[in-house]
Amino acid sequence: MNEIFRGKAWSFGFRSAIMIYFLCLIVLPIVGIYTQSFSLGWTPFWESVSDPLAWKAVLLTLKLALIATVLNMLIGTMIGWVLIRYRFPGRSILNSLVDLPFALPTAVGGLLILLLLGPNSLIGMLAGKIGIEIVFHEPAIVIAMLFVTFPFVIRAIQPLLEELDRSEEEAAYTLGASKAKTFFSVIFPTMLPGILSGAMLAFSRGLAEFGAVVLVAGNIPGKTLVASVFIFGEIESNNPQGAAAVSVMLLTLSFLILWLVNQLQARRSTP
Amino acid sequence: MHIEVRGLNKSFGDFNAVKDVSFDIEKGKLIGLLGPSGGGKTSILRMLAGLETPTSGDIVFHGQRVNDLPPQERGIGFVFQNYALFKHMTVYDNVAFGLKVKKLSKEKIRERVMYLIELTGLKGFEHRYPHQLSGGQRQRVAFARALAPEPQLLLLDEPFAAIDAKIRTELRTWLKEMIERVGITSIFVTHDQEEAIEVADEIMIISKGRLEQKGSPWDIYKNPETPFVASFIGESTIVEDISILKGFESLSDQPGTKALIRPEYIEHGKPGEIKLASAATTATVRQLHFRGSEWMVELAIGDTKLITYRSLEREVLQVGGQVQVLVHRAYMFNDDDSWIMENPLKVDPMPIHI
Ligand SMILES: Nc1ncnc2c1ncn2[C@@H]1O[C@H](COP(=O)(O)OP(=O)(O)OP(=O)(O)O)[C@@H](O)[C@H]1O
Ligand SMILES: [Mg+2]
Repeated sequence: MNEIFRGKAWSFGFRSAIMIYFLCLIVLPIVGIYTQSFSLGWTPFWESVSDPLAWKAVLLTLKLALIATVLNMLIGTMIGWVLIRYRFPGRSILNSLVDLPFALPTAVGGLLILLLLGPNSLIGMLAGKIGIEIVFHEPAIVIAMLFVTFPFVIRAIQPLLEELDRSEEEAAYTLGASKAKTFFSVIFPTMLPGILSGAMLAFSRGLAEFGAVVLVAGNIPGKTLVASVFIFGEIESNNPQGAAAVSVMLLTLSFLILWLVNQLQARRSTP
Repeated sequence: MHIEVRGLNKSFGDFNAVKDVSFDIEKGKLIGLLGPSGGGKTSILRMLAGLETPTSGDIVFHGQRVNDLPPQERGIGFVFQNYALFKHMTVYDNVAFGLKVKKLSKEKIRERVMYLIELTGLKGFEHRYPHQLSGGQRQRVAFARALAPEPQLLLLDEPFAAIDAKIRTELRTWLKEMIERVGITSIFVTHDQEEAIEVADEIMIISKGRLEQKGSPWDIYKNPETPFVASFIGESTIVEDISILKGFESLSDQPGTKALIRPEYIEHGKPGEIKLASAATTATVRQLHFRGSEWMVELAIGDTKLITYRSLEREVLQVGGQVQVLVHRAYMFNDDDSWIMENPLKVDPMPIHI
């Protein structure tokens, strides 16, 4: 009896602790932002949102995050594949380096991009000669987003590839399937849920990126000003209403993406 | 398909997994590859399938050397030990895979898949995914999938290993029937000798990378060609010095020669129960083990231990009691030679003159 009671008490304690944590760190701030942005009613909210600088910032962020995500899907899939399927010296070091962008302060990432690709660097000069400007323009923002979201796709497909039984491939060969056919009908479907959920996480992280982007973007309103930097600017210029409105747009998008990821994973576990 | 293998070798690094294996398999035969774990059975099967490249030797299908053909072009079906079903495909799509690769028409595919699904008793499960099936059902899907493109040779790697004992017996009878009905040359790997004996037309015993013997189950049981086969097939006790047994005294001058004696070669009984009393040796009952349908009796003659079985219908023996033992035959072997020796006293009606 005593033991059961203690067990229940423990479980109750744990659950309450988690609930409180969740409430304080996630629910309250989010509710706060929604209330803040609608505090003066619908009209001011609408005005803030329809401010061209605001929606241009959001659109730009969406566009660039999308580009970064697509690149991530391609590169991440290839890197994940190579790291799992090939054995070469330095593989395990490379594999642990994948997580570096998560460990590094994003501002350091931005600084690295400035140093490596800036107008005074070798690459920056070469690109400038053929008429491409990287830093303080859109390419730099994409690169910054790519840098901070780099591990997502790789880490999402690696466990799936490890799980994939070699004999499934061999079975396909004995059934007459070519290497390409086997890749597309056996291996790729196994990786796909990982690619998609990794991509969505990368996308929402890209939408939210501030530290790396603010250093390299130039932040010209309406041109290279992304949403997170826009929010920062609004707060700086004492306009919490505008900041909250854009935040609400970003938050809603993030929720949508999270929900999609969840749907994808649910589909995976009960196909 | 007629299969011929000549001087097949496979090494992994400096480890020789398969050593100089040669054999012939006639069309339509069901062959069991039997042997202890790590013997090289899977390696042989994979080389036949083209999933592994032989280090040397030839594999000939239908008179055509296929060493350089990739698995896609060998016309084989392979049932993997873990089934290797495509996890993201339904039963239907799994079975249809090989047919879709061949670019058959939709109706043709549907017809063949439904035929196989019915044949393997999977009707009603077409739309399930592998993780929604039992082990036995998965095995059938793997079988149907391998058969779908009408291969000439079916290779099965321990097809029953992951299935519990009860369904296993059922499933192997089913498989044998199925293979006979389809009439396809088949090779299956097992390390369960009962399974091999029951299912196979012919057995190949593989140990330490070598083909020890190939023959019908009865042949292998009756005339084992190597000490390994003799000890591996059936249950047997090694007797270091067989000359202590009546009838085998003549072997006392061959010190290096050992004997393998199977329980079923040993007749035992209380004094008077054995008719050829003159060919019997006295032994002590060391231990009795109840084995469900019979007693396993451990006998001792001096330091030599013998094992035999006693029917539950017969009078129960006492531990420590004396019995008469008649050994009908023994499989003798030494470093150079091996042979089967019948107890000479059994055939000679007047054994007294020796
Ligand atoms: N890819 C490989 N690399 C190195 N050694 C291998 C490889 N595949 C098999 N071997 C070795 O070759 C030997 C034969 O292996 P194989 O899988 O053919 O045995 P088996 O008879 O099928 O055994 P089991 O009954 O346990 O499946 C083993 O000692 C194994 O360790
Ligand atoms: Mg094996």
